[in-house]
Amino acid sequence: MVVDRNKEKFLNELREYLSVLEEQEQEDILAEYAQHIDMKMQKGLSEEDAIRDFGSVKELAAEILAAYHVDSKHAMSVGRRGIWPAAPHRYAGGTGLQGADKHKNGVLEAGVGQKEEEVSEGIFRRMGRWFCQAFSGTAKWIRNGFDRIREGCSQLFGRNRELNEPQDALMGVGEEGMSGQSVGGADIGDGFAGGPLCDAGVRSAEGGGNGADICSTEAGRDSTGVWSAEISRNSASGMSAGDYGSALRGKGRSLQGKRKDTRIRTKEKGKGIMGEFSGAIGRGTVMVWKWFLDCCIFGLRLFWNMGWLLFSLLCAGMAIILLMGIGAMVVLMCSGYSFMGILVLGLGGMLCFGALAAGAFGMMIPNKRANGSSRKEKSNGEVHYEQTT
Amino acid sequence: MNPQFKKGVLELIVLESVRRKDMYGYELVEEVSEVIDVNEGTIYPLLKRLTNEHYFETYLRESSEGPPRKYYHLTAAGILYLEKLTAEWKEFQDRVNGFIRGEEES
Repeated sequence: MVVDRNKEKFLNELREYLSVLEEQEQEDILAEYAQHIDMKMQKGLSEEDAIRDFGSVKELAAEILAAYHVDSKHAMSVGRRGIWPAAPHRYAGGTGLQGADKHKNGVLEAGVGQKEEEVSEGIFRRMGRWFCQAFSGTAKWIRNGFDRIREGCSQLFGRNRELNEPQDALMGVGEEGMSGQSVGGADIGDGFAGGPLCDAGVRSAEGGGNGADICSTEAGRDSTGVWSAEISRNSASGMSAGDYGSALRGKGRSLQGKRKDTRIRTKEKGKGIMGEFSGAIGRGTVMVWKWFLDCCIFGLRLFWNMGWLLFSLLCAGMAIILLMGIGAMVVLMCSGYSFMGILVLGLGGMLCFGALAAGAFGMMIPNKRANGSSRKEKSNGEVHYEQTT
Repeated sequence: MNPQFKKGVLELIVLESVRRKDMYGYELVEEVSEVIDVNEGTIYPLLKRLTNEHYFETYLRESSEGPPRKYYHLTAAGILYLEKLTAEWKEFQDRVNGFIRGEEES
């Protein structure tokens, strides 16, 4: 029984030294040594002698690990028991074995060729990021161009001609309001023709000295953080131009820096039947043109989106195929084949195709308004615009 | 024998032994031990390395004397490698022998 314990001790010690290897490999090696000892015992040797012929267990384990291209000193850092004495360092040799913490030939190769993998992975990652950025930038640029064209067309043919007055217009309104007190009502009325806006909770009146409509504009910000502007036609509020200028005094500055969407509807009164008829024809023509343009834009967008969608799907499919290939390579590498180069190539290809797919997907034009606002027209002619900030 | 010499030719002897006949570990150790006196512990790691480098392939064969034995078989890559090693060994041997003979003649 003492003999058995020696054999067991030898095998256990060897197992501890080989703990960096896969379990199956350890069993395989130990079974071979156990069989060798048994055969020597059958030849008449004692087990102690049979074990002694192997020499130092530590040196034996070091040679076995060297056969797996594992540095025995480094094995301490990844071994279960940590019985190797020296500090870990990278194994410089090897036959094309690369990759940290990966299995090849049943070996847990920690730290082997790690630097090379980091360099190659960094290059591919950078390339993938660059491709993604380039495609995203191009997609954004093209999309912005289309948005501008669409916005221009909608401003040219659409009803919302005075929509989306920029911040400059708001500032202009404020300045006009400030100057209204000194220059008189006519100037104030002209100033508001470009887009009368008020700050939240401020009521203003446009006093047209030449019989024009008097409008009241309420601009407010509701409690949900949605900017809204309501323009309604009211009767004259009785405010004179001077009062109006006074009301706006001090508010003009507060308008600066705030962004609102508003629309003013002007209605011309006093037109005759012919005028109304010609106006109706004009509006009908504009509507037809707008409808035609919308159809064209819709068709172009559909064609554009479908093309990029197909391309994106194609690239995504290729990336998936490459991913499957990488999986197969990993399986083959675990079986002992050296496919590291092809694996890195496949990884890079997968990243490239993935970036292409993402870029192509980003090229698609979403179906939304250019300014992100939604328009609601009420039955009484009021137009309500909401824009989420 | 000089251990450095043994270390250099051990691979060649193992490959040649397996080329002649498929062998299991213990059998191979005995075969090699007839040529050079070598530590048994160095044979198994060498077999493992040559297997990992695809010069050997292994298979199990039942044995009447105990558990199945793992036999080593030389692959095509192993045959090419053996031929290369043999040629290198012959060239090395010729050069060293020529050098020694030249020294002796002079």
